[in-house]
Amino acid sequence: MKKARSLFLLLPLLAASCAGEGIPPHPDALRFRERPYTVPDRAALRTELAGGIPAYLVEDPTLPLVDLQILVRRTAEEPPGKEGLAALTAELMRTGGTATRTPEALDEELEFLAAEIGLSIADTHATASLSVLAKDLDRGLEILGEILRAPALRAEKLEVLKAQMIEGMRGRNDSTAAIEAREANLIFYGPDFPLNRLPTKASVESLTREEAASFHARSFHPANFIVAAAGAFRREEMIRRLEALFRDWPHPPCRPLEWPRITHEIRPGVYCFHKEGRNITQGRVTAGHAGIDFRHPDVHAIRVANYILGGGGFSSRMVQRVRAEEGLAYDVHSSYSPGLAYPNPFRIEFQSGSATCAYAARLCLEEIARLRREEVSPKELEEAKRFFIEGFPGFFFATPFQTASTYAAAELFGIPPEYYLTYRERIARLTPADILRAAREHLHPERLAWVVVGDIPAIKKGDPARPAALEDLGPVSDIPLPDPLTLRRP
Amino acid sequence: MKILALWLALQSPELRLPVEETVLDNGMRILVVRRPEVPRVFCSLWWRVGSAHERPGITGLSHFFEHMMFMGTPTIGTTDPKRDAELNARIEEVMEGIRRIKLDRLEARRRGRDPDPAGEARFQELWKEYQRLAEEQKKISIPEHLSKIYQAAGGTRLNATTGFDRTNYFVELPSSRIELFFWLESDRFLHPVFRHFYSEREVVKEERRMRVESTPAGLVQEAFHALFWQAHPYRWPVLGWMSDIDQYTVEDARAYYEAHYSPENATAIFVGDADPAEVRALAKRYFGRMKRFPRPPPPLVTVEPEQPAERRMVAEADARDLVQVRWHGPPAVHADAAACDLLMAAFSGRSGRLYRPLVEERRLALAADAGCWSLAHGGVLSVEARPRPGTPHEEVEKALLGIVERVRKEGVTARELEKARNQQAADLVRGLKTLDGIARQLGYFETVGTWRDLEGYWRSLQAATEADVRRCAERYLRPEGRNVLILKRKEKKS
Repeated sequence: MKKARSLFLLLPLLAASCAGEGIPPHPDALRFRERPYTVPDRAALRTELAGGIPAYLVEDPTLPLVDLQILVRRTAEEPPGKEGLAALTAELMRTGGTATRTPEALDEELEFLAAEIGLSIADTHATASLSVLAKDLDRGLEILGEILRAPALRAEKLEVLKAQMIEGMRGRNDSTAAIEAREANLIFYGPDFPLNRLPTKASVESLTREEAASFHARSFHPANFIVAAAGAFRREEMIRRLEALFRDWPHPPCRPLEWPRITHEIRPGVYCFHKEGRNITQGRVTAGHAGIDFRHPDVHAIRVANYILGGGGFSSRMVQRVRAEEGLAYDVHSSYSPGLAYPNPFRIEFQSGSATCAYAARLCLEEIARLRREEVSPKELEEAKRFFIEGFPGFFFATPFQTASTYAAAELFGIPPEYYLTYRERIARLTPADILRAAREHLHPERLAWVVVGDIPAIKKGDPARPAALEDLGPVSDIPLPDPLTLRRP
Repeated sequence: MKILALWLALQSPELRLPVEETVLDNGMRILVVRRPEVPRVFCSLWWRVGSAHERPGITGLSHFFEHMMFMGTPTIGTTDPKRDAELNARIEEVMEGIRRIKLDRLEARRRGRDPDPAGEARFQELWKEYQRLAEEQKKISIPEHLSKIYQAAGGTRLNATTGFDRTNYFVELPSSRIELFFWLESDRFLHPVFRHFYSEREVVKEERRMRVESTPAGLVQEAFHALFWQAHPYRWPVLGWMSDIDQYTVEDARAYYEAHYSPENATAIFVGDADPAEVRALAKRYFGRMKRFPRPPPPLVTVEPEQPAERRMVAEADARDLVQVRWHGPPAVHADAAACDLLMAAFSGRSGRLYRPLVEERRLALAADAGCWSLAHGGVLSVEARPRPGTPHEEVEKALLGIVERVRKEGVTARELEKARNQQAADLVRGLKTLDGIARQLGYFETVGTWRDLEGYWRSLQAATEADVRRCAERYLRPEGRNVLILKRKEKKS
């Protein structure tokens, strides 16, 4: 980097001929007026609806539209053998009609209003969403209310829904990307983790309407709701509407489940998954080891260290090395995003031609080793810090709806207000020594498990011009792909 | 310099999108939409250059050029511009030798012979020399310098994309730092040096492998696309054919630059907390120094001939079963464009013409939908269904086409038209929710026409009648205009 610094002194001479009137010869010479940014006031946006339901409401008259999201802390579990019940319930709630509307009438009305209602149930929480033109807000809320309170869950919808889910499973081994994502989760979190309790043909076929009804009743209650809304409404009127919506719920509340706990230990090594096909000319690689959640005191040092390593897009060392210098991958990156409900693993991900996968992995490891060995230069650190400090409003508060949903999610996962208030300050305080310490404590190349998907014989063969082998990364095992419908491996 | 401020009335009196337009003396257009709520500005530069402007032999060059624009200038990306230029020239000499050997290989292949061993030995020598020069160049390079400068200023969403009709470069910046955009964008389009040309060629090959070749139905979809367009340059993929990527030269890129990157072929769009007067002044100072090229960008004159007969492709892949039928539709700014959007919307969604009969009632398919994709010089109208396992594709095709034929004969109902209109309007409004969403809508219209066509499109959407929609169904969904893709899941070998 010394060379780069001395360059800037020379540039005015070299580039003078390029500069026009009032144009500095190098962008480093540009001077900017700082504009202060104030974090949106969480307390001012928050209100408590009757029954103690938290709601973050942001008036935004810019467009004649209202966006609303309800986060629901997960309260029901899928019994063993009933994997797929959560997804089926969410889909049946949306498409199975309500007490006053047949499924067909419901689809017709929503699409006529150009309203969008979404329902999903993840391993930690469920999300219900409504996007509607402001003039149709009352009807949109009425339909959402009916779906959440007492969906009809008509049994005649079950056959098509199950067939759609099973067809989705049939494609589980079609793409190397899907194989990589599934197998990496299994290796990083273990087969018993809720995220990995995947449906099979048998589990889906066994599901009944009654099970979906029971799952719904145990999952959706205002006592577990957190609301985020933004758009063309008056705050007071929205409060009144929401309170009416949540009043006199037909079934009792349930106690929230504990956040899932990771008990699995990641076994380092190389796990190869062969995908047949003449067209499979590229390998997909994901490596990971245990990571952190947002409560960890080093969260910001890790964030910045990862940015420099492989999280900073084009600016990251991995992109410079593997893509820009060597031309071995279009996409190469690392992620060390702190988990919200439970720790997220640190990950490296890239795709490269079959022959160059092992070599690209070696280059990634060299970059980790360098970050653990040497302090980053003050300039590189400063650039990374400025990305987070200047980019901050865009990460969390880019639109009124993002502001509301950022704070709703913070309440769900217990992220304190200080997290956002002190974010920029905590980044600003970081020193090269902090980054070095974070890299040494939180990046462990010897603990990495490598998931490799593609034409495995070609990947193992490698490229004689670029010496590297999968064995260099750890003990190599070949794992057959599971049957997509039973998930049993041969 | 012309300054026009126009209020684009959308949907209802309370929805207005104030667009301030400036046209520089060099013909470049500058649009500003002020949204001061967050101190950020989404800055984008749209060039009316895409794969449709290429020719066989250089397919994908627009996209590759986009990659090259991140490689720097004499000021950005190197610590020693003089030596860098010398190395670039030397690399070109070596690569010209390699190119000739590659051409000999093509000739040998054409004649069914083995490549000349002497040529192959020479290839290895030249390749070593290239690698030596590239290594030396690396020592004076600042990789991803432009990206680093943007990101260090708080630039997010930094990237660029290429399509059939356009290339756009974008970044979201703190509003206090938009001058950086003017500096870097004017610099990269004034002084491109095409550095690291040949290593980036390898990156683009990896991109092609990732996006097309190694995906379940990528090669089939690419082939179907090439079948659909007979004469128009839309027929080749935006990423280009692999053999063409392998042969690009700096000379090709420079000739392409000189043909297409004259400033009147660009529009810069700023959405966010930007002061229009400040943007105007900066645009004049920075973009104003880009001179019009002696020749204007060449017009695209090829017209897709009317399709005389149905075309059909039957394929197998490790992918979900699919029956897809495509017809040629009108260009995005054509008087029929809005009516075609409404027509295809009537087929779409759970309450549309396709889903319930095919999925719920007759249970022939597990998904069914329709779409309308409008480009600058043509369009694609499509219907598709995913057959249930065990249901013959032919039966699904027959059912799909039966529904289409009925709409051709009877048109759509008043309620269907109203529903489609509501959906198109809501989509447009939702597209304006974010800074980049606004920029993308204006940019799209700037590259298929002008941003004012957005207003014209909106008016057509409101004015279209049942008769218009029926006329479009009759005109565009002709049986002889069908392009049918039957994609079957590949049977597993026992």
